[in-house]
Parts: sequence; C-alpha cells; structure tokens
Amino acid sequence: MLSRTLIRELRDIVGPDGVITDPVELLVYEADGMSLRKSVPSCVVLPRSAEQVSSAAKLLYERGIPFVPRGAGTGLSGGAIALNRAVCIALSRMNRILEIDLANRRALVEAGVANLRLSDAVKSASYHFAPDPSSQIACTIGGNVATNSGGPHTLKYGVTTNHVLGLEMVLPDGTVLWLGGNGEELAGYDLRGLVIGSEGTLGIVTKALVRLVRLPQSWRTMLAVFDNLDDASHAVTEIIAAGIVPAALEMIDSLMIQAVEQASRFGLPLDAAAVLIIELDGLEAGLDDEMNRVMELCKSRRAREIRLARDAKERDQLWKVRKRSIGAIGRITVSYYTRDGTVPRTKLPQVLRAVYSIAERYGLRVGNVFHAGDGNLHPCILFDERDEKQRELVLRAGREMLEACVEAGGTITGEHGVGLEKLELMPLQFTPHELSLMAKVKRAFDPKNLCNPGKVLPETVNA
Amino acid sequence: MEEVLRAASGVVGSAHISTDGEQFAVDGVRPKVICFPGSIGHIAQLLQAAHSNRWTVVPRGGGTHMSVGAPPRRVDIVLCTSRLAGIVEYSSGDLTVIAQAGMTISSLQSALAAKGQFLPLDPPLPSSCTVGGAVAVNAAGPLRFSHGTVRDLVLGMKVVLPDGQVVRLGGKVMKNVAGYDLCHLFTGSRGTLGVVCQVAFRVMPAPQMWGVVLGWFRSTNDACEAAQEIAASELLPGSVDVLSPGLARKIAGGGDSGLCALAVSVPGSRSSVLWRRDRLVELLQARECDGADWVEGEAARDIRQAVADMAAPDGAASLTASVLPAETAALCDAAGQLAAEHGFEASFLAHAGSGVVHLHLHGPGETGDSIAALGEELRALARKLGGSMIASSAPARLKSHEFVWGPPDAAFRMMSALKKEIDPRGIMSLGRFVGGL
Repeated sequence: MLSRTLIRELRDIVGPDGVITDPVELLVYEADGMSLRKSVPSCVVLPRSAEQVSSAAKLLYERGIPFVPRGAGTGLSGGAIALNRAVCIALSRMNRILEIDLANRRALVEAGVANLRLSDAVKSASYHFAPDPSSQIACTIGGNVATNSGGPHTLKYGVTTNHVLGLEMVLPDGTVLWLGGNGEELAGYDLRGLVIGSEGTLGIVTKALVRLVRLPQSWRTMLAVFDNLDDASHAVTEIIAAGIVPAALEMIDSLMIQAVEQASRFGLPLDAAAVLIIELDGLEAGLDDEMNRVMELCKSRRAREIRLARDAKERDQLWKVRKRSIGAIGRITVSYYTRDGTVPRTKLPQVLRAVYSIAERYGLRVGNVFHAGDGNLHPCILFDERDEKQRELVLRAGREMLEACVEAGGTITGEHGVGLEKLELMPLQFTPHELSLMAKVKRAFDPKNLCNPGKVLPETVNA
Repeated sequence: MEEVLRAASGVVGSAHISTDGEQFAVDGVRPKVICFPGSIGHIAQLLQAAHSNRWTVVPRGGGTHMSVGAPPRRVDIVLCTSRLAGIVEYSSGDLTVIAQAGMTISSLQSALAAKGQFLPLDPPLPSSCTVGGAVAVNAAGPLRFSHGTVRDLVLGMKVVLPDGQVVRLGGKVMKNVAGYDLCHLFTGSRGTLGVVCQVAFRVMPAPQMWGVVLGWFRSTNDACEAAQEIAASELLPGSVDVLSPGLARKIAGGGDSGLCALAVSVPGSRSSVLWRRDRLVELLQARECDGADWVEGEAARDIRQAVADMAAPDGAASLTASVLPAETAALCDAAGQLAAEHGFEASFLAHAGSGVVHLHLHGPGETGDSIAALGEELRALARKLGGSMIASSAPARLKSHEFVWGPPDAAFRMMSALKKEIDPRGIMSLGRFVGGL
C-alpha cells in the first residue's frame, strides 16, 4: 500500500481529482486488451501535462516505487498491467492536438490523443496519420509509439516508427527530454527510434511530432473469395511477386468468416475457406490496370468470386468488418487468445498449415484474421477461460505456433509487443547475448528498474 | 605497433594486412594497422583482441562518408569490410535481401535489378558507398522524400559488439516488435557501438519507368515554393530537389544560364508517370518557370544519379542542414548571403520536400578561420529555422566535435549512458561522434 503522505503528494502534483484510489474504480485499470492476466494498480495518476508526469515520476523514482504508463489500455500483450501494485500513470487527460502544420506535413500531439481523432482532424485537408491499428478509435498515439503499432495499411505505408519525427519523453527519474525533432539529419544516436516500440519501459512519452501523409487520390478495394486456404495464401505471395504493392492485403479464414458474419451480417460467404481483402491505392491513372492484374492472379488461383467495393461507403463497410473481426469472435466463443507471429511471406502457406495442425493436435479451434501481405499472422485460439485445463492447453498451443514462426525465420511478435505475455518466449528468438544487450539499454535509461518493470525482458536476463 | 600487427596478422593472415597509415588515415590520424577480415569470425576475433588490449578501432566501408566526424583521438586498427561484399540471402518473393557490409550499393542494386526489384535508397557515390557504411551514417539521397532513410529500410542486422560478441538485431520480416528496436540505435551510430557485418533490407518492385521533370527558375525562392507545392500534391513524386545554379549547370550540359533547377522524379507505370508529367509541367508553367524539360529512361537514371552525387563533399567544406521543409528557401537564400559575406561561393543541393540541404562552400586558398566562423553562423541560422546542422567535411584542424555536430543537447546524457553500456572501454571510433563519443 502507498502511504497516505505519498497519495497526498501525488494529489499536490496532479490535483485532487487526478489520483484514483477507490478500489472499485481501480478495477478499470487491472488489465489491458490481454485479459489472461490481471493486477490492480496501487493507485492511478492522471496528469495533464509533461511537467506533472515529470513531477510524479520524480517523486516515485526517489521513493523507489514502480510505475507503469498507460494509454487507452487496448494493448494485447499485458504491457500496461501494473504488476506488484505499481502506480499507473494514465495519459488519458493529455489528449490535445497541439499543432497541425500542413505546410510541413506534420502534427504535434499529446500522447493521449486517440489515433483516429488525429486522422479525422486532418481528413478534410486530405491527410491522415498512416498507422491504422484495428483499435484506432480508442488506442492512443502514445500507445502506438509504445508498441510501434502497425495496422492493415502498413504493407505500403510502414509502421509507427516510420511516421514519428520526434518525441517528448519523461525519463524514469523525471527528466524531460526531446528525442528527434523537426530536422531529419540530427546529431547523435536515434533515441527516438530506440524508444519507439520499447513498451513504456524506458520512460513515459508525453508528446509526439508525427508525419501526416497525403490521402491517396483513388483506391480499389476488393474481396476475393477462395474455396481453398492454400490458394488464398499463394495468391498473396503471387500478387507481391508480380511487383504489386497493395495498400493492404488481409486474409480472413473460414472460422473468422463465421464470427464476422454473425456479428456484422455483411454478406460474407459462409462456405468459403478464406477471403482476401485487397486494397490498391494511388493515382487514378494506371490503377485499373493494376486491379485487373490482381484479379487475374486471384482467378488463376481459383478465386470463385471477386467483389469490388463500388463506392467509399462500401469500402468503409468492408474495413469495418475487418477491423471489428477480432471483437466479433466473442459471438462464437467464451474466450479467445490471439497470437501475433510474423514470417517471411513466402512461408505463409507452410506456417498456416502448421498453425491449424497444432490447434487440431490440442483439440482446439483456431481462426485467423491477419495481415497476409506483411506475413503477420494472428491465430486466434478459441477456449473457455473458466476451464483451467483448456487455459493450459491454449498457452502450450500458442507457444508452439510461435515456435513455428521463429523456425520459419520469423518473429514472436509483429505488432502487439512482448509485454508480459511473451516474456518467456524471448529466448526462443534471442540469444543470451542479445537479451543482455537489451538489458544494457534498459539499464542506461532506468538504472533502478522502476519504469514498467517486468515487461519486455525476462527478469532472469542480466545486462 | 608490433603487438597490434602480430595480433591482426594472426587473425586475418598477413596477406590481408596493410600498414599504409597514410592512405587510410582518418581525418589525418594514422592507424597502426589496416586489416581486411574475410569473415564475421575474423571481425569478432579482432574486436576481442582490441577489447582486451584497449586498442581503438575504426570500421571503414567504401570511405565515402569518412569525412563526417571529428578526428578520432587515436586509431590502432582500421577495419575494412571490402572482403565481405556478397549477398547472404535474397528472397525476392519476400521482398527481402541480406547483404554483407562491404557490398557496394551499386552491386546490391544490380543484383536486385536482375529480379526486377530495387532498394529505394540513393546515397551519393553508390559504386563506392557500402551497405555497412550506409547503415553507419544512416545514408539517404533524394528518394528520402518518398522512402525515408536507411532507418526506414533496415529489417535487421548482424553486428559484432566491441567485446567481440556477435549479435543479431531485428530480423528479416516486415514487422517485428520483439524486444528493443536496436536496429534504429545502431543505424547512424557511426561505428561507435560495434561493427555492422550484415544487413537485412526490405526492397521494392522496381517501377516500370522513371521520369524526371526539370523546371528552371530565376530564384531559389520560386524553385523552392514550386517544390513545396509538388511535395504537398497528390502527384506522388519520388524526390523533389532544388539545385543551385552552379550545380544545375552540371546537369544541363554546361550551359551557364544562371538558373537554378527543380528536379522532380516520378516512378511508376507508364500511364501514371506520363499523366504526372503533364500535371507537373502545368504546375511549373503556372508558376512562370523559365522552361521545363522532361527526361525518361536511361537519361532519367543518369540525371537522378547526378543529382544524388551532388550531396558528396565538395569544395573547402560541406555542411548538411535540416530545417522544416517550408523553410528550405529561407535557409538556402540566407546561407548564400552569409557565405558571400565571408568570401565564399555556396552551391547547394536541397532535398526540398524533406528540408535537408547539402551546402558546399567554395572559397579562396587558406580559409580555415573564416570557415569556422561561417559554420557557426550557418548553424545558428539552421536553428532559427527550426533545425540543425552537421559539418560533413571540413579541414581536419577545424573539426572539433562541437564544430562537426554542434553542442550536445539534453538527450546527450542518454547517448553517453548507452555508449558506456555497450562500449565500456571506449574502443570504437573513439572521439568521432557527438559530444566526443
């Protein structure tokens, strides 16, 4: 328990309504988007400025009390869970868009600004913030920075790190720094790039200077329906091999089609083995040629039907279906567990087969809805969390799936992060020397190991 | 010297050792031994020996960017990567390639071109510039406008750390967030954290064609304004660069019109490239440019290369400033005036869409003091315009780390902490980087 004095000192910093200690209210903060682990913070601090974050961090650092930064809590790896009664520093009140500079195609935002809110704010000027994770209605730019978020359109437009020019960060000891900035050629190490994806373990990001990207002049969005999953994954690799880089190339398998259809009544064919959502964008000139080539490639892989979105509304609907698909899975299961491996895309057919056969061996159902063009798989294992034996099986099957990804030359996490959830998997991908190098980085920023401790790096790793 | 030589010969064999300290001097500082390792194992052994004996090491690729940095405090070994010049793995279906550090960018591009692909990276002097060097300096060229810098293209790398440990950073897949993004830390670290031995890049399908629109303008300001309009347009240019009259002359075949040039490259399918050509020419005409030319195919490739090469150090000193893109014109104009006040003529290549300007100062014979003063004024100017400046080449005696990189900012504390963690004995490129790291 935190002492009353400390709570009072925190209130002095953030104001009387800026500290949550009520046990019921604290339950909101006991987990993030990964529901397998829960841990209630000792209190929640809600700062309104970098100065307040700095003062709070400084106070906690001096007292040796661990703290955990938190955005919208949509993360899928337990990165925002406050272990061992740590203090949660939630950035939800730091939600101002500070500056939109269209002449230089950039915006300065506070960390708590929701991803989609920024894109909406610049839409009328034909710009957007390119990373578009499925949770973009809620997830914050600060959270995107923490996990180096992707989304369906990263195939062509890259991930968060490609769209952030600079960061304001509060170090664990309370020092406020700018990393990166307006100029593209800066002196020194790329601390901006190092901090992006560090999951709130190196400090607390309070502002981000991000790039705004021009919306494409035009697009073609289509849905290709396949009776055979292998055909669909071969179509993916063949589209890329043909020299076409779609804006997005997503796959939904049979089980996920059932879930999505129950939730959305969009009209997906319930008997299909897989559908691909393929989006091409760019200049109107030449776009139809590209679309025709994609359609031919799909047909040569026996696509039985290709539907083209006729207007912006149909396109939006299609993307809504895709982005809500993980949520839709609740229609067909009590609980689900999503994994996030990435493999070289030519290995997709092989790894997908492995994923299904692992699930079968454990007697579990698995659905896939994922960024096929990036080779980023999201096997979603269905189970009932009330059944302890099933929980155990799910964890084992999930681990084997990621082992298959690493074996194929891939990674245990493409965009969700390591957090708490994949700690024990880190040695699958990294040698002790590689983990030790990461621990040295952590020690340089956070020598007392107080900022989001117990995440990203297994505690057994020494610097 | 004897001891270093013996140890190095023991690792790489005496046939792969040189003692020509003059040829491989780093900003005038002569190394005791130059070695040419033939494997990552060699590099690991060399660094182990260096680490145990506290010998200082400077890695070297093609030497195209060796002028960037303060003179090293001491150099025992220059470690050349030229024997590690092959492709390790090329999976065209995955759009990924892994190349050894000593491979030149040109050779890599040729290998990719054979499969209809390319690396969207166009640093100056690609037939000398190596993969490892490009990573060490976070190289980029005009294509940074559409594809960013090396940082945006690296998926993973194999690095020998200062104590000789071999580690892999990142991976070879499109998306990877497992652990810290150490690729970003090492990219641009200028040989101060270890030796980059192999690099995995994401590559792209080569566009069907390239074209270049050249617009001619009487003033830098008009050219830069047109550049900003194009950069903000939906025309998807690959690059948007402005060349001062002195450099513009070189691509115009020697004519001395006194005009500056706006060079806009457009990659894509034939129909889309030609559509954009027409839009760009209309846009330039509406801005009353002094004429517009169009080149495509091989001629476009040559012009793009010529423009990219203009970033290479030239003249008495070369400076790289980066400011807000919309401030490019202000920077170029004011820099020209300041240079003139000090008796220099400034030529520049401005990546106007990105706000990065390569300034070359040409001046009279012995100009050390005035370069120092001018450098400081130009740095203050870049700061005023929201950015900063790096001296990419200058007479060695002027090159304090403050002159080259500017005074360290508040984040230097973390840089210094990282350097101490990773290179605790300070053997890698000692003293070359910001703040004397």
